Amino acid sequence: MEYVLQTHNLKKRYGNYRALDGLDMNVPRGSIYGLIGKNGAGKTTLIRLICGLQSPTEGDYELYGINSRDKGIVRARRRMGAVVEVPSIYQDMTATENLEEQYRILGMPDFEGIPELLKLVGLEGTGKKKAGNFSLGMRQRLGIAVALSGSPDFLVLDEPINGMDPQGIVEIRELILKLNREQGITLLISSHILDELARIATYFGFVDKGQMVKEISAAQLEAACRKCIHLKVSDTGILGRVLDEMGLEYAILSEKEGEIYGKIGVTELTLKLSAQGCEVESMQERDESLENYYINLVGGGSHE
Amino acid sequence: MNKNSYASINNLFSAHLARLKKSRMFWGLALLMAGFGVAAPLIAHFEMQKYGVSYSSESRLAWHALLTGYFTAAFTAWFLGTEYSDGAIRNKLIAGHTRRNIYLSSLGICVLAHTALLLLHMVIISVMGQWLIAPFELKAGGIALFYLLSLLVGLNFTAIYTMIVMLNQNKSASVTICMLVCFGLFVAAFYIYAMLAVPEMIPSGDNIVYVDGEALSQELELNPRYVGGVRRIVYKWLLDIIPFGQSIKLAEMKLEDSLRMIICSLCLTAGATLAGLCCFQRKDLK
Repeated sequence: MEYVLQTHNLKKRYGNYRALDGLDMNVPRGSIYGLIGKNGAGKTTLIRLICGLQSPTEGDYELYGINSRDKGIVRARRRMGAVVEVPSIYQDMTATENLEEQYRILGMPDFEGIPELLKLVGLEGTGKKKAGNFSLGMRQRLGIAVALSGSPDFLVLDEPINGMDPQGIVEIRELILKLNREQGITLLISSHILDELARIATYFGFVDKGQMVKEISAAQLEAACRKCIHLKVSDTGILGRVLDEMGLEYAILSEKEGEIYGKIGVTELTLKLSAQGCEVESMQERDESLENYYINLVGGGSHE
Repeated sequence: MNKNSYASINNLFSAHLARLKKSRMFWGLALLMAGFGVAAPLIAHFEMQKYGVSYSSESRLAWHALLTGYFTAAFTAWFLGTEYSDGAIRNKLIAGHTRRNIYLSSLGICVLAHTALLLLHMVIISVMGQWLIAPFELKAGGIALFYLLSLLVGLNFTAIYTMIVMLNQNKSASVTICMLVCFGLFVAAFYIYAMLAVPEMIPSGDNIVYVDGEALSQELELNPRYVGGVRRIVYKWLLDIIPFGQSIKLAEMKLEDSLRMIICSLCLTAGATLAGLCCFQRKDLK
């Protein structure tokens, strides 16, 4: 597998505090990598290191195969874009002016791509409105547009939907998927909104106390998370007998509720229950959530 | 500096320049400096007409000397502080620019802005002064030297403030620190200047005669407050090292130690820039 970013025993200390404590991470090319961890787990520190805002105390990382100790890392960084914590935009400039400024920083020969970029992030109609007057979602999208200015193939987003309204969250989600699917951009996203990450990420990295607890693909996660069917019936005694006959794993939760693990034939089950006089009131498919998986993995406790 | 470094500084500088053109702070200061430039010869002309006093154009040209430190502090802290407050400095690092290039381009744009503001002010006074006050008494070389020393003092201030701002990620704190440093340098320079101005001999206490309020005496004695020897040499160097010290000398048109002033200016600028670069390279940015 080809990796865009790999970290090796990465450590960062602030005085006696270990923000990163030997973190190993592998971000596969073309993936949407969801970085999950509590407050203070080291997510933002990791992003600051790979963006060159800070230097590791120990360990190193590779960006497109170029080691962080190599002088070429500065050039390798030109292939990435990032929004770290809050969008880096001039508040007293319009969206277009902000992008023009970034184009100059990158040494782009002209501003041709700006209208397309604004359209991509849905800010084409903002005209002379200053970024300082933008909503949080608009600022976030402008920050992403600035990060996309150099046509990077690796985009790092630190808490991209933090504090956003539901509409803004949907817009950012769609933008991320579009960038990944249509432009083939690899994304590293740190977020504490696990449900949102579960919808888009193709890889997950669980960070705790500055260390990588587990890296797992979405497919592996799905397999690891047990699916179940939650049923509400008139008699769970009959339900138990029928499920025993069918050889299915299940759990009776109350007199009227039960859960069946694994795949079932809904029609077959309903007919068998009906034949024995048991009515099915409701049936829902449920996944063990990413949140549950995460809590089991890092041992619970408070998390965002 | 290799080709890539040159291109990187060029890109960063061009981005700064575009921002400078849109900066209200810069245009506000330009208006202010131009206003002072117009006011100085006008006031002198008015006083010459009304009270019959005489002024030289050179004396008005030195008006900026005590302003330089303050407007440079305000501009540098505001302009570069925004890079941190709006997070734009992160974009530059992520875009693959080295910290050295970011620092040097930031210093460069502030030097350019300061030079433009100062030249605007001085050129207005120079032109209007010839017309409203009197032709320059100094020769062209002297005036050129005055311009050079003035710009070097500005360079000094800019290097010090750039160092402070680039090492401080809080814009408000940067503005406050720059202003406090400016005031501190002002006080230090005036103290040293006052110490150096203490006369070596004073009238003897027994036979002092006052004429028009001035103490006269046939006998003189050594002033115990006089700063002499090695201490005097150190104080003189200190006065030239502190930018405000040079400002005071410029305000009084004292250009006799110009070589020492130039050396001090260049050394201080280089020192502040090297120290700033060194610390900025190691600084953890948020």
